[in-house]
Amino acid sequence: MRPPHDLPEPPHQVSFRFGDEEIEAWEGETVATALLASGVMITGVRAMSGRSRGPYCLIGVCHECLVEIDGLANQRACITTVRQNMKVCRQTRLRPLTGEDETREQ
Amino acid sequence: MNNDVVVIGAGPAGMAAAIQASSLGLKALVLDEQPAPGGQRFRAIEQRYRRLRAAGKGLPASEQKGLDLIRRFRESDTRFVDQASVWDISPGGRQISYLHHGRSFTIPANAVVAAPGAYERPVPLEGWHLPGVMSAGAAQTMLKMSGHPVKGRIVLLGCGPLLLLTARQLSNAGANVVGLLQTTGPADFLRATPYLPAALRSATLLKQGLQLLTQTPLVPKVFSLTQASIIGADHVEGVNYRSRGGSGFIECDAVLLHFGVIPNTQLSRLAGVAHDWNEQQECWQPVVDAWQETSAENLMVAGDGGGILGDEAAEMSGRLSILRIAHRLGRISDQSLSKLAAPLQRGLKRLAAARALIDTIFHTPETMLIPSGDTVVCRCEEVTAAEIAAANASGASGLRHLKVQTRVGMGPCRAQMCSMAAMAMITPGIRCGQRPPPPATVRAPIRPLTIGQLAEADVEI
Repeated sequence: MRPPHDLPEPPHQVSFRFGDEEIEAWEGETVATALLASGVMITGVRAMSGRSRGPYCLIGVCHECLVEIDGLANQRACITTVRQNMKVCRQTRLRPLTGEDETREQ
Repeated sequence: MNNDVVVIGAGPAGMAAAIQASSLGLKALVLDEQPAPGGQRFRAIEQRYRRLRAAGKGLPASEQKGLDLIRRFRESDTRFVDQASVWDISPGGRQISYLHHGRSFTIPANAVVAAPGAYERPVPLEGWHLPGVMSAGAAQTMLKMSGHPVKGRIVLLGCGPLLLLTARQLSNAGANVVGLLQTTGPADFLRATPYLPAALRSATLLKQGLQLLTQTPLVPKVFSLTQASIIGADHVEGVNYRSRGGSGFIECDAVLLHFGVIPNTQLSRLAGVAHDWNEQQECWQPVVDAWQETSAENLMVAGDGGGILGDEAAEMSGRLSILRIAHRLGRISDQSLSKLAAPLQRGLKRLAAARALIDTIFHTPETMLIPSGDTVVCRCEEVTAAEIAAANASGASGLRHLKVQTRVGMGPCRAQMCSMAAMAMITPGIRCGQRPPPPATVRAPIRPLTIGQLAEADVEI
């Protein structure tokens, strides 16, 4: 048996970047809930139709909240836990095919 | 191989399975996508407890049992990997691949307890793709994790206990609920009366249900809702609705939809086990025996992922799975197997009996079962109901046909959001006993995975 598990101190607050905004969150919280709590409703734009989208299920099923996190695309904001100073961006267009390419024409 | 059993999911079923395994001396590895155990039912409960305690408050009694379960789980001799997203399971379940902090791991498994849980039944309505529309469960998750209710004027729409519970929780948290539009009406209660006697065996469940129905917040309510469309340019601006009592429009900033929950069958379908159509709950579910064992030996499905029965039943089915595995491994005798299992199997029967009442009262109305026109059915690929209907009219009769012709179900959610509606569209007699066609094949990866992650995978054979 392991020693008794206790949860004494209150959770800390952390902050991260969303585009140009600074977002406050609870340690242990997900990116999506922190964004929603800060009033961010739109987390992406569909490249083909130009329609805005936001988180829907918050349990990792719908994949509506895909964002770029620290340079890695297609991360579910509702599954990713916030880290201090993490950089989150909206996905608004098709990604370049290589690092040097210009973004493809839509 | 280091583990006797791999448990996928750390909700009530997975945690109970791990605790039971540890108590019988089995080594369990538990994988869960979330940062903390609890599943959706007890999401972020440790954190909420810490926040409430810092403010000199405590958890409500209904949540305290979750904290206790998590504490027993954490204290058990179990290896728990959080933020682990399973992206593949081999046919029969003997090999599992998961992503953990950007790295892929493939591990062997002697036995598996899959406890993938449930998700809210997606019912496509016009405008449901707009930012500001979420599931009611999402609003609950947000409240649990951030401590904040959904912002702006909120309309809750649909049916089911969770819709009513969310309405109450949001109101208590000071949210601005401007409408509770329920598809439920007197006809649903009448239709459900034959199931009342069986439900009386689960008195607590019934009492909780009555409380939910009678203690709804003081907000404008509509019953017997038959149709709704969500209006807005770039985000939600309002809801148009029609009910048996008339029609109307409510201006709002957020719409929370809920139409009950269905098992998440991605893993069990990927593992290739037998599934069956559950007519009462209108969903596919894996076929399991009295030990939660699927058609593949030593691959169990426990909890709501095997059929919706709630968290109390999930704990029972999680424990049953482990008893069967432990017995096969010779860790418990025939005698202790039956002794330990009997109360669990009895409990599951009792809870299943109460379910018929709930399922019959909270029923998606006929008028919302089949989407039409410009309603986006496949949110990922933005395929409308009209496009699906056209493909069906030109001969696409199964889900694979539809997929090839319209791209429905080919986006990142892997058809989890659209397949129920697409299926209803091509099975018009679904409420009159017509059996729907099997769902489209699930293929790995079921989670976004980069080629680099695949190439650098850590594979243990």
